[in-house]
Amino acid sequence: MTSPTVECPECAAELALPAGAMLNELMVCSDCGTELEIVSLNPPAVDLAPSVEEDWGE
Amino acid sequence: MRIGILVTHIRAEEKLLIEAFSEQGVTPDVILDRDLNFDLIAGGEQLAPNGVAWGEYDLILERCVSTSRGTYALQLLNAWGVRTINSYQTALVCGDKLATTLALARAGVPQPEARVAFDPDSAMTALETLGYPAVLKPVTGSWGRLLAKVNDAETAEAIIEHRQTLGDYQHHVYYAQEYIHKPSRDIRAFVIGERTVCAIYRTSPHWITNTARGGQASNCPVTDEINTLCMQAANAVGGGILALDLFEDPERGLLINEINHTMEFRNSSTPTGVNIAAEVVRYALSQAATVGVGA
Repeated sequence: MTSPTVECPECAAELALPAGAMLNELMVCSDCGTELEIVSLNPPAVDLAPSVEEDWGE
Repeated sequence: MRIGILVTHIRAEEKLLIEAFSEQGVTPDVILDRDLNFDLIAGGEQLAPNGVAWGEYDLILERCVSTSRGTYALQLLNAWGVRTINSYQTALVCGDKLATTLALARAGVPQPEARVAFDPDSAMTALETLGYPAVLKPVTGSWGRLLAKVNDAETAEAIIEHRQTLGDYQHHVYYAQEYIHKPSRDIRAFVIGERTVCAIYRTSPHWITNTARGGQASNCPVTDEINTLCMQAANAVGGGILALDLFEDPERGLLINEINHTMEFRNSSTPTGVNIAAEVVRYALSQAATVGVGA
């Protein structure tokens, strides 16, 4: 079975969602390296991930 | 059993945790911190964004990458009697390097020398007291960001001027730490509840060894010495699920550098052979089954 695909909003590359993709999961565009967030599973869609803020971390 | 996992988004760690919960027959509710809209006056009977009353949760596992969102959420949830991991008190101490240093000092935990100053001149004095090289750190922050190894007074003047001019008020709090001449590595140890479940060496030619900055992970056997020190440090900050960074000082031995309360562990299970997500979930479920607030 082929993975659902999405279009990178930054570079328009066609990307396969990761195995067991979850809503709000982060992924990286394999073409341009932009960090993306899965915003819908059905239909599959991604958006640019939120930018890192100063208080982000462990 | 009703478990919530509070997140900024789903990273590799949260995905592993959700899968580990699933293996235990539990499907946690994923709650996004961006959707939070708390009534500060009402209590735990108010509804979470998913329509479930906060008070109905047996446990909220806080996994926000946003420290401010996570810490405030924990403050509210604990105030309403909702059990969380970690507790607000633990997050409060671990989220602030000054508070961590103070807690460790009170407990007699060995750590690098550290000072704080609030003015450029007194910051220079603090650094000179520690001796060069020293390290300037923001009191809040992670992933090795904005750390500065200060090799001499001229460098110190430049860094302090930049922070004074370009930074907000938090960057005018000058937390200065003794530089430890560690052996091209530090130790990241994982405490879950009452034991240190595993540890890694983080090796790098750079003085900053965070894996987020390219440090390479390899297994570090958990000795009695490491476990005892880590448990002493973990208890000093309130306990729970914690990642502790240790330095190997050539003369003083192991020192606790920092403690992280929403740890990343994606690179640590493979070298250690320990399923950290499963360990976290096992502990979380045991805590959810008990009475009280906090981890």
